[in-house]
Amino acid sequence: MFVNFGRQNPQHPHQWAFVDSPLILTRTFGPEALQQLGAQVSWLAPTPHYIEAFLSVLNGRGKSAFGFRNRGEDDGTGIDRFHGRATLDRNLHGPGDLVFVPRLATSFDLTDDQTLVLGTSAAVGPNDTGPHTRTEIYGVDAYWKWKPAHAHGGFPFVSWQTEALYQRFEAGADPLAPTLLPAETLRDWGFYTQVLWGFRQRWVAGLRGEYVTGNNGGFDAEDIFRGDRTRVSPNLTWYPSEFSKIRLQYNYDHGQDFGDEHSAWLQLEFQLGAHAPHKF
Amino acid sequence: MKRLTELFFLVCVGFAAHAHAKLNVVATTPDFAAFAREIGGDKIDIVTLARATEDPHFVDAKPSFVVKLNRADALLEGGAELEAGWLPPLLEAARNPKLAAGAPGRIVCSQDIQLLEVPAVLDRSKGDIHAAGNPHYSIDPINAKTICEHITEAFSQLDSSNSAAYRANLMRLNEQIDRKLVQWQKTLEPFRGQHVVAYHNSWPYFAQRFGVKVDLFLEPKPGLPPTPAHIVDVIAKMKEEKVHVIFLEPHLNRRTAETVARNTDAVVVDVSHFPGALKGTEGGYLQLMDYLVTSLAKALANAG
Repeated sequence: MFVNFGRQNPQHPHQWAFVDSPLILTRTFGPEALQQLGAQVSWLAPTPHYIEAFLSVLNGRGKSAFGFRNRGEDDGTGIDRFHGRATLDRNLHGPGDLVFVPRLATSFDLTDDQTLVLGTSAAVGPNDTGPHTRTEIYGVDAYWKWKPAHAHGGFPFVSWQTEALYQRFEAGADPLAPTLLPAETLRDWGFYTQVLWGFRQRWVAGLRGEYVTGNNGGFDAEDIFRGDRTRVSPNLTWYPSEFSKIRLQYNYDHGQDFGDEHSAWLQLEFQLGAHAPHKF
Repeated sequence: MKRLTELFFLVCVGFAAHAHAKLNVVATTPDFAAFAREIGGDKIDIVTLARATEDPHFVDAKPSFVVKLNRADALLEGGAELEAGWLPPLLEAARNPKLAAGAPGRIVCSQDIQLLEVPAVLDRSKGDIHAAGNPHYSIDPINAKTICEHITEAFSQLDSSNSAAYRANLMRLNEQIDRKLVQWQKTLEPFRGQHVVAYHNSWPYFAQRFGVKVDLFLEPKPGLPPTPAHIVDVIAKMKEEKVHVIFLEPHLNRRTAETVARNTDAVVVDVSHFPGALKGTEGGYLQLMDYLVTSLAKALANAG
């Protein structure tokens, strides 16, 4: 399942409002999002106000468990490395080796036309860079939506979504070079904030701003994407039908280690087959 | 000691009062809510999910609805897939066994209703059509009676102590509908066979009951926005068949309807299936029907 952390991670890519995933999410959950085998329990608080608590327990292994039991990439010599360290297989010895993802969400109907959803999530578990090393990821999220009383087909609307994440990654010493690359704690944090304006039926204009930063690790000389990074992405999406979309997006990307990069994207997507309605 | 005894009795009375708490009813759309109010009166607390003026196909499944459904004793839903785009995730999150499929609290209003326009072929290329048939059935007064009978049965089963009151309310409502239906049919009789254009195909039940023809639409196919080519076509057809009335629901594009009206010497008539969507219809189903029949008769009379 796409793990219930924050707002974007649980979404399938076809639901994304932008062509690409936010920087802080790929930095913490990797390019494939946090998707894992596991189980989730959830509880609706018996209050007149919406409060829901979730707990997912995951296997936490593999490339899509990016910051957890992930052996990383082959360095070209047959050794798997993650954050520069040769990784080892942390097998499941007990419940402490699983990944736990708790989440708490609440919602407010500010007016008849406006709804606000607030949430906080965490993901904690072991990682493969050392025999006892652990990863902790914490996030807060907010989603606000305005839709007027006379909306047709869901338009017009304005929505605003923000997520901020903090990651604490205990990196063990590289077993093959412990003095060159000793144990250290890598910290990352960042956020993205995006506004969508469905200004006309089937047309959505979007704007996203993001920032990621973190402390540098002993090996970071090679990784130009690890430094501070800022990105701004305006986009325009047209939905010819509910089942297809055409999106044009421009990214202005500024990295501490690579300077300014500009890119333009054209996305075409269509769906086949039945699909259940999405969550709010 | 006396104070404590007083407090004790107060608490007991409080609990006793709670034992006869009202039935918590949730309706997906305001038409069913209006029927529930007629039958339930002050014995029920009713909450409606979709607003009267919004597009009922695209209601946001807000988290606050989850709580409302979680606490409900009964749910009134259309049952003809009108809410297919937003109700299922709400029900899943609501975790309420009283609203499970087949449970007495799950009141599917399309039960026993003869749906029109059941598609022979279910195909996305035909637009946003519903497998069970046209879901906008509550506007027909005969269907309204069937729905209310069903609601009465359901409420009586869930709350037998008040079943006499529910049945009395049903009898009163049936009498009123029977009497009014005669009046409404008389008002629209002079216009039998005349054509009306609608933005969206949600009026076949009204058309059938009152003898008007609503078979030309601004949407080229259900759910598809009007295209310029199709609008040109509609204008031509309206001129040819001398159609001068356009039905427009509050959430639909007024500018498009008015452009067509301007080009065909027609009038836009504000309509809705939901009491409260239009000024003067807040009183409920009967008031809404009075409004619709009177507005249509006036528009057709002026056009003729």
